[in-house]
Amino acid sequence: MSRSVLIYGAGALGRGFVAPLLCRSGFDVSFVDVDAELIARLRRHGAYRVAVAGRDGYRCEDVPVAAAYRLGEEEGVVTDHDLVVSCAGARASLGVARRLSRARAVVTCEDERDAAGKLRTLSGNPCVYLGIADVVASTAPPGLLAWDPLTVVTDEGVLVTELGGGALPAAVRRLDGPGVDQAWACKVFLHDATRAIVAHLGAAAGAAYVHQAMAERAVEQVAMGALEELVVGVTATGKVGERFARAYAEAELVRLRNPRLYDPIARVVREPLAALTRDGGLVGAARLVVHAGFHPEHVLQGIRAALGPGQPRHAGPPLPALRRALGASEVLRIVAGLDHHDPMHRLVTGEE
Amino acid sequence: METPHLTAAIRAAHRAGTTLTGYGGWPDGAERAHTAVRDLVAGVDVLAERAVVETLVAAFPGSSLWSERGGYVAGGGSDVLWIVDPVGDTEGCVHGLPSSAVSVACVAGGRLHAGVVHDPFTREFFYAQRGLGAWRNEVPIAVARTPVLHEALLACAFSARATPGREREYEVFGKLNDASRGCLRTGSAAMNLAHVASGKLAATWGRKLDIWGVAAGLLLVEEAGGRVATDVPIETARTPTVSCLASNGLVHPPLAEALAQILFNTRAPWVPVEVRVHA
Repeated sequence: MSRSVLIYGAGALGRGFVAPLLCRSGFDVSFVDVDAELIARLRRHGAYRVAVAGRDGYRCEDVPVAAAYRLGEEEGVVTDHDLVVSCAGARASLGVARRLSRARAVVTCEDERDAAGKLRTLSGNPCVYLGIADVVASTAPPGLLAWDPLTVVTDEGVLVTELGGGALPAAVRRLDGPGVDQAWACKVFLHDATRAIVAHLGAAAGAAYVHQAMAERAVEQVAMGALEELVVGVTATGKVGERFARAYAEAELVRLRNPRLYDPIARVVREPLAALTRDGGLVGAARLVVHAGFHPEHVLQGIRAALGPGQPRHAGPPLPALRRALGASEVLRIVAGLDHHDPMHRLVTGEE
Repeated sequence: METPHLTAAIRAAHRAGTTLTGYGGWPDGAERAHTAVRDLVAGVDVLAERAVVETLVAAFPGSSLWSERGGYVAGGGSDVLWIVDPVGDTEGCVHGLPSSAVSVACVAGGRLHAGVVHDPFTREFFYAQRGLGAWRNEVPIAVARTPVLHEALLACAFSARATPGREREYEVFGKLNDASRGCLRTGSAAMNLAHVASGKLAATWGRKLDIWGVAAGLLLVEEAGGRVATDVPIETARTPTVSCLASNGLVHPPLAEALAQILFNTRAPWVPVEVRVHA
């Protein structure tokens, strides 16, 4: 008897990674999304294509869609599914918490460490588990889109969850507390932060995709240096084993260079100042390295690129008017909350 | 690419904001009892305005300036007019509320060209340039998609002093409050407009508001995809007050109908207003 999953969020992560992963394990896949046009398309087509980017080319899979609902239409069917997965964004998932109160099992794959705890509290459902989707999922290159505009390109990716998770298949690894901490630290610092550094440097160099940025020798050198610093940083926390971190970093480099992923830089750099809040994103990564007793030279280069005055050629709407008008130092102080006396402020700007 | 006008407006707003927050917050509670708070706020207002004027005139020598304190100061040899409010919501400041708004608008070539609204306490810069769009701290902003009045959060600004026709304003305020998700009465028309532009509020309005408090915000709403109506065009205004309605466009018709008389036709005999919630 087949099992069924209801996925909140039919974007790149939900549609491109979680759905095919569970489909391979025999799940019938249904989606919920706020995008009426996307839902109509999924209903009309009844299936879509995922292109998994490997070393030698793409491995294409067709994913059948059992049902697609606009947000609100799914209220009566949540409990009919063996599993619910949330990939709609941390705030959006909290917005549907009440509907998940009687779900059999919920995995929340949001970019927030305590997403599962919050959802457990708000839904009153103890069967909510944190999922960590370690994957690059992005819009497909034009050739594949011509065949099917719903196509998503991903790498192989890994999905891990906290222990529990009910109906989850064996392809999803269940980790204990320390295992989750290790996976989370690697994703946030070795994957997210390094990718942001490459994207900001690449944007300044006029690259459209992450792999194009990595083709620039100078950007690649910074990425390698930043990964080295961050491996030291995450290892020093005591939450990540050094061998694990080094293996992860090596795989990350392969992923960053992969020319088939078409990971768009514009998506990474669209809110450059958000990456520079006091403890979040790149500033948090730099602090991690400093706490380990090292100078975060390469991470700082990424921060300076994010603060830079240049308009990314492919970055679309963001207008760096604040940075141009006020300068990096003031933007750090006003918007990022790093005051002049903060050692991190001095490290970034080089001011005494 | 932004023009030097927007760059200068951001710098000026930043300097005024730094002056405002440089006091480490306003006096409150017991401290207010033995501090000449009004004098302090007035002093800060002077310092903030000086900072704004210095910045703008240095960037655009010969430009004209219009503000509450300085009045209209004609420049020479430039078609640039700056309409500035260095400290919005002074009453809130006097009472220790950590909110204010610096508002800097630029009229160039006879058109409202650039505008900045800055809340130094939340560290937010809202800015727009005609034809380019509107942003909050470098992220593009857009008005809310709230389609109907009964789902809309509204805000208005009106004077704390009794003015002729006030009872009509209260009547419409009450009816719109009941017909929507609520209507806030805030101390800052500039921040109301910024919040409409960024989609937090669906609409805002005010009667006979200070022009320096709304000029920048009206451009924000327009550039964020909203709709604006004023009793006089900002560019050609010769009096320091303006009545305005700014919205996401979708809830504009019922609001315009309800507010037409108090905002735009104050001399006509008063006719009780009926608010059409589902229009």
